[in-house]
Amino acid sequence: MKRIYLFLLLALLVVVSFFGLEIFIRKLMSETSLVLRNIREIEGYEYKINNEILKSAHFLYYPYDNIYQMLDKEEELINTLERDFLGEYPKSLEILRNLKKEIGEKRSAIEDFETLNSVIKNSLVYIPSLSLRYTETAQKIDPEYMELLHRVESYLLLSGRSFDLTFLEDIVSLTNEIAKKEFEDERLRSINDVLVKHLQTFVTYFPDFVYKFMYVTDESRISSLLEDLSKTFVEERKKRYAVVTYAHTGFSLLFASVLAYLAYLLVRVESQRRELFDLNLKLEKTLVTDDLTGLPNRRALYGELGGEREGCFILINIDGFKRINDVYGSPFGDSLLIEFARFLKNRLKDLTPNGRLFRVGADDFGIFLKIPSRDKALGLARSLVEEIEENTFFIRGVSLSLSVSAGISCSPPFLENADIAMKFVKRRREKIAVFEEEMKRSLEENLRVTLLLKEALAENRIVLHFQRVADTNGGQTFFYECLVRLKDKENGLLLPQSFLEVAKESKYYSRLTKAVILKAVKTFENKPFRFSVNLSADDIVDEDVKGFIYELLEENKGIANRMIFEILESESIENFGEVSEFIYRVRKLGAMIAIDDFGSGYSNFSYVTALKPDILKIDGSLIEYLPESEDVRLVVSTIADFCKKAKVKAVAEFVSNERIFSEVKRLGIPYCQGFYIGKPSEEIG
Amino acid sequence: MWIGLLLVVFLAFGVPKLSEPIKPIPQKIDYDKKKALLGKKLFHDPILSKDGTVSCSSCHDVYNKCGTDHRNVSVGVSGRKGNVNAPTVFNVVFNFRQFWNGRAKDLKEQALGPIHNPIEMGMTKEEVERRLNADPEYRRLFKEVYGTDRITFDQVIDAIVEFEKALITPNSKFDRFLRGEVQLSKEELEGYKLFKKLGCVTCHNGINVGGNSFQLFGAVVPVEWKPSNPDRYRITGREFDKNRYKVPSLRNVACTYPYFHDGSAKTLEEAVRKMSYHNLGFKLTEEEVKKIVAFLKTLTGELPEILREKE
Repeated sequence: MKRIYLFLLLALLVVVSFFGLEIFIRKLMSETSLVLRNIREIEGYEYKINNEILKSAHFLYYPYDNIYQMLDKEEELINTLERDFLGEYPKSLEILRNLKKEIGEKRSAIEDFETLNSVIKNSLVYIPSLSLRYTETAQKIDPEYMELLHRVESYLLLSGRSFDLTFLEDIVSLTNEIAKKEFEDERLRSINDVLVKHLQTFVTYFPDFVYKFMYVTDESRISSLLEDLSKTFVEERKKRYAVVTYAHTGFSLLFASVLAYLAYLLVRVESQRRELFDLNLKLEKTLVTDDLTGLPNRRALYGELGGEREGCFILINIDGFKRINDVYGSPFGDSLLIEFARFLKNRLKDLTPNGRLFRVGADDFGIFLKIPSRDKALGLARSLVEEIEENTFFIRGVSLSLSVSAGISCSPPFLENADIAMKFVKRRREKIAVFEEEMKRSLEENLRVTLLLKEALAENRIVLHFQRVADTNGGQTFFYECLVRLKDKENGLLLPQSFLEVAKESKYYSRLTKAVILKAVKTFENKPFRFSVNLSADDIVDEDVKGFIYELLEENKGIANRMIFEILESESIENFGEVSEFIYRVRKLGAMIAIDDFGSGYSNFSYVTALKPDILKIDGSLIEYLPESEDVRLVVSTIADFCKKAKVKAVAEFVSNERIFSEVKRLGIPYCQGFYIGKPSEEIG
Repeated sequence: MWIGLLLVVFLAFGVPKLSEPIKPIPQKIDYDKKKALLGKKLFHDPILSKDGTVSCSSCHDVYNKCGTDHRNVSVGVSGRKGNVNAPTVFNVVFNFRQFWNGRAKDLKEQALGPIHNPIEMGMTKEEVERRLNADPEYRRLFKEVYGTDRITFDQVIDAIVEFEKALITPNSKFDRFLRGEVQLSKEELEGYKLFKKLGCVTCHNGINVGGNSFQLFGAVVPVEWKPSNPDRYRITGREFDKNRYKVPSLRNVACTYPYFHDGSAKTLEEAVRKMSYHNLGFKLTEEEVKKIVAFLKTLTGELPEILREKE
């Protein structure tokens, strides 16, 4: 960059010098022509002055003004040349000074000449008029004297008009003869005296008059000087101009090379710009391309969908991809993703020309369809899911079948909406879900509940309600089940079904469990009743919660043997190992275990036997139908029998009326719980 | 008949082209009025003389004495007498040289003469500048004209010269006659004819009726030469230049007396007689003198316009 600036500076210098030189040359040329014009003008004045001199010599009376005016003008021209123009031309200046000197000499010669001219002219006029006066005055004309007069007059005329000195001797001798003449008459003598004086004056001044005339009218000296001056000046100027010409040529060449270099720079800049543009394009492509699969990435998707309002987006996720990664390692997972991407791409190409495939996350692939048709998108998703699941992938020698889920959205924001749909896929245990506004609202509700839970925990708005479990035959209290409620800001109570599922997904769940346990312990610390709290499989898996329970039981032995943990059958079967360990430990610490909602899920008796619970709560959905259904009665009676034999205390849930109660009693279920026995309440007893 | 016709044509077209050896003074001349008025003030101000007694106008009374002092020779500072008769400052712009012997080539050179001359004004350049710069009125006037804060000697001379340029006396009776506006009286016309016939006009010609050549005083009958003469010999030392002077202008000659370089002729008649004797060789008749003087009196022009201007 610095180099370019330097060059530009240099270029500017060259251009400025070039034009500066141009201006200088132009000035030089105009100066030259001015000088030559002045010289010609001086020449012109020379002719005019000589013409004036001739006139003044010819006319007997003639005004001398013009001659001196012209001489002044001529002098002014010479001074101008000397002062303003010829300072740098030494030879020309020398000639000019010679010329000036010559003209100065000519000037004083002219001044002399005009003096002589006046004298000579006067005498030339006077002599004939004096001879006329003689004839007028004389009584008797002397013919000899007259002849002398005529002779001298003719010589005077000849000499005066021819500027010839040849006859001067004749005039002198005639003058002498005239001077010798004697006159009686005073007047005649006086006339003769004046005549002789004039003749003598003529003779005295005439030679000088002729010489001065010849001198001042001789053009040769001045005109040769003038010629020499213009010649020398042109030569000197040419010499000087030669340097300037070379400089001019040099600068012209420099100027041209500056232009050429500029052109070269322009071309180079253009090509560099193009390279940069290509590089940028490549970078942009890299930026929007997934390294692993070569598919356009999430950024590309945003780029392409930025302004798109219409179309459908299918999000495809490989189920349990994390597990595959865990089992086979991430290089295997990567290979799978590459293969999966290739498969998707090929299939998509066959299925529709309007789809564009992206990799939007680790195992999340997206297809954008330009057709805004929900049904077509759904159809395509189904076909793809089906084909994927039917396909066997061979990865590094391992053959693999994949299960995938798909979320579809036909309204923007496509990716986010498809993601919401995907969440519902997982939740509903379906393969494919299409986004609906409802889903969004549900998610928003979850968020609201989560926030509520967070606040409730912080502000101690977790409330327990207690529902009595009683002896079927005697009605005595067996234990109280502690049921959790959330009090919202308006003191309304939220039942667990409205927040527990959400709570499980959040990080506040374990805190909720611990808060419930603590509250329960505190409530029953000084009360003579057994009490139960509900634990989910998540709680049992949670080390923090487990540790908390173990510690609590160890430190409160008096309470431990009154505590009952209710565990869902369905959940515990999936985490059998951990659950059975938990059961073993808390029982050892004195607490009892209840299996909750038995009969709703697997109803696996062997499992129950293995867990060895103290209590088994028969699911409300069975109990409800006891009065109506023989099948149900059969199932429940079987469970009741099993419990008797396995020494497990059976509890009937949802005993909501007397009819149910009497059935329960008839079937010999020892304990019961439900609205008929007692509604959940803040109070105990 | 043909000749008659030719004469008619010649008169009709040729007459205006016939030229007299004497030219009329132009009725107007270009000059810088502001400058000239400043020059006029300086011209009349004795501040320019060493002892504050004389100004330019002391020897060149432009209002009453046609630019002369009517003395034989002029009087300068401390009452010192010069040796030269003061020539008029009227119409000097038309002179080919200044001073009796033409030693100044123009008015600018001329103006320096009397200012520096110890027996005229006796001033140095520095003194002139010092005095004028000390005067607020002059400072103001010079600033107005030259736009500078400091008055220089060159500006002083320049202003005076500009004033002198303006001193032309047009519209004399003779000029009006030359322009065909008036007729001369019989005597005056005969005087003019004599002026030409006798040869006066060979030297006294042009606009200034003189002032355009150097001539010998006493060409036919020599005049006695004195070393004190202000002639060309003073400058050149040539024998030829003894008693050789710039021909004086005859403009306004009737009121520029006394005449000659030494003021030796008190009247016009005396001057005419003396000139004709020395330069033409003989004595004029009384009749001739009268006629020539009558003609010479027609050369008196108007007072220069600038003198009618208020300062």
